[in-house]
Amino acid sequence: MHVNVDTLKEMSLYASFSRPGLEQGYVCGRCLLQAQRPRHSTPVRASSAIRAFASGRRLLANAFASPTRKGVLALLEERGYVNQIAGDRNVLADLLDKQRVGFYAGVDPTAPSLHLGHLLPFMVIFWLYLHGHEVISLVGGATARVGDPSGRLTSRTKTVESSYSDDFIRMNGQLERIWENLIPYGARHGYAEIATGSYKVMTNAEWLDKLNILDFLRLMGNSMRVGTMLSRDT
Amino acid sequence: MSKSRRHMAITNIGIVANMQTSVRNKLEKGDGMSFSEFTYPLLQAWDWWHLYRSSNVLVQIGGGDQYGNIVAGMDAIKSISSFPKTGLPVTNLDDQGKLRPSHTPMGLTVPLLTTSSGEKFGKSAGNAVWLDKTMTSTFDLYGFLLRTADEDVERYLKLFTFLPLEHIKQVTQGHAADPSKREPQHLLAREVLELVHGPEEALAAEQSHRESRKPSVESVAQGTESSKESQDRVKLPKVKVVGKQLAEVMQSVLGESKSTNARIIASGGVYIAKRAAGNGNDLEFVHFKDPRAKVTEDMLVGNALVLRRGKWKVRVVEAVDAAGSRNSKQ
Repeated sequence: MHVNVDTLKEMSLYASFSRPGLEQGYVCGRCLLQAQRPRHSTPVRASSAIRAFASGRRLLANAFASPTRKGVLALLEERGYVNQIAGDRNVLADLLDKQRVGFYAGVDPTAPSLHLGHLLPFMVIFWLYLHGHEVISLVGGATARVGDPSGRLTSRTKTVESSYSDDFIRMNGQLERIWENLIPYGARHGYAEIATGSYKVMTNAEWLDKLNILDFLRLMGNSMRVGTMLSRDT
Repeated sequence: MSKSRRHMAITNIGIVANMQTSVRNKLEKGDGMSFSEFTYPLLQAWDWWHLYRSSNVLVQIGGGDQYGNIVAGMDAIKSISSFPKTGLPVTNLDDQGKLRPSHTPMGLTVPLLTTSSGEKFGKSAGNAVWLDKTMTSTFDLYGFLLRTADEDVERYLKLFTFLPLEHIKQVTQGHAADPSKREPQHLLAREVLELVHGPEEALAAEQSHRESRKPSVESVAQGTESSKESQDRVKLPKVKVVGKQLAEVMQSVLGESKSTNARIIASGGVYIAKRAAGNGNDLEFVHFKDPRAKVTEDMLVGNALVLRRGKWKVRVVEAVDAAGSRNSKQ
């Protein structure tokens, strides 16, 4: 069972008495580890969240959400960010207001820079981060070499190997800088850093470069039907 | 919302009726598809599976064209989760070995943005507006956002800033009273620049734009701190300015061909700044309509030609002598 750190702090006494594997009290090792270890940008969450609450600053929806307050998903909808939701909208809305949820958005470095249009999915990621969720912005260092055919009639022109890594380095650095700007920017708009979630900038080369093709075919290949892939609208 | 829910219901049964599929489309109308490209959605799904397993990533956010890839990822994670020995905590699954609702992956796509005139958002004359300042200068990024149509600006403020909705409403309502100031557009540009390039760059870009919008004899002659090095100010050898056709000067300063610029001049889209009558420091833009006319000495303000193309693009062209030093003739 994965639980968020706040809950864990309350549960830690209980967890330390219960044996792993018991239905209610089991907490996976990684969660326990995370709870014990101060994490990036959220060092002393529980106590600082309480302080933030006392001083009237904005804070995590999950910690002290009032029933009348508008949910994060409603906020995103109201501002025009939501085109389609895949899955159950109400389950998502509920989860977002009750617990920390993990999100990711990715972009392939098929050019040396992000453009203005790329910013939109990341704006959603930024909002979720400011509301206490755990977000990852992914730079597709590995997938850029394959090229997403979605919405295209012609394949991307093949690029020399050296420019893939140049483009990756530039785009990665660019995202890191935008994140660095976001934190003071968010603070200026009243989103105190202590109430935010956590963020990471990652690259999929980290796992795709060493992905074994037989593992891939066994898990992913067996899960996907060619007929569905041919008929899917992407 | 109701629209997207309807769509959800359709895709949930696995068939998107009456929609052209991207694989089919590319195979039949495009240049075909390599096996690697066909595999792309699976690689993206693997990313998500990896992040789902290692970092609890439940939701993927994507652009408007990513719905299919996201649904493919959701299907993949649901299917792989039921395999033995995946390393997932058993509590993610229910009695039937399916993912519980609170652990079921979900996706959210953002709209494909188009401007009120129907163009794809973020393109300037067909070219992408980059966030790297060596590719699109901070001045031009600010200028691009400043040109946002009145019909679009409120929507963009909601999407590209963290300003509260009440604040956005206030600013756009104030704008209706005095549209020429373009305050909502300035606000949009400033906020986006602050996020992308930081507060100092945002302020500098704003200042040079406000000045170039209202150039004065003084600001043109001296170049103020913020505009001195900025992209709205260019130096050209005097022989490439005076005695040349304006369309030619525009070609060196703004790019695009001489004939394109001549066409813009003929259609009345180009202005030259002149000293305003009365106040000695004010400049006013007057139409320059003859595409063949040459730039003469008396068109310069101090040593600079101040030209404006369209509503917003202003360039201060300093005419320097061949040695490169400033021509001090007034």
